[in-house]
Amino acid sequence: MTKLLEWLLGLSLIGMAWGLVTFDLLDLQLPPQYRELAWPMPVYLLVAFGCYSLATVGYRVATFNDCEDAAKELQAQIKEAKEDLKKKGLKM
Amino acid sequence: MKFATGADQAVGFGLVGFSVLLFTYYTIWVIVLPFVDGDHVIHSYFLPREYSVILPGVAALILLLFVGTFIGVVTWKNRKPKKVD
Repeated sequence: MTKLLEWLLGLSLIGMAWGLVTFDLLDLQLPPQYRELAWPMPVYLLVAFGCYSLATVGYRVATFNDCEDAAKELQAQIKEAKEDLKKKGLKM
Repeated sequence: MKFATGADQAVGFGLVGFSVLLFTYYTIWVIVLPFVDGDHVIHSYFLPREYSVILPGVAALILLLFVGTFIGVVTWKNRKPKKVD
């Protein structure tokens, strides 16, 4: 089974479990707090993942060593690329 | 090699701080509040529950709008008659 199929299968199972709880399709009669907790779950997981991504990017920006030589070289390359593209007609 | 300096650190740790705050507030809102008594004072610091889904949805739409607009504007500026090289 390919990775894609694995992920899709996993997601569908979780999605079904969520749907069952949120829409009470099996008449499980869970206590109201758990139903209240369940229905925002997809959005909550997305937001949580977004926060984790943002924090990871921020932390790595903050702790990445400065590389002066590489920075100068990159600036020169950016300038060169801009001029080259301008010659070919790209407008930014 | 030098350590990350000034603005990089500020922006980086700012992002980390912002994410932690956002995550904490949102987690309390979605996960903790259902188990807290309806008349506890903490509920006054949070909007009604529906907004915990609506607000991220709106934010995602606005983000998509920005990205799409940017792509559209740059594509429009670089259209050429007949052929796009």
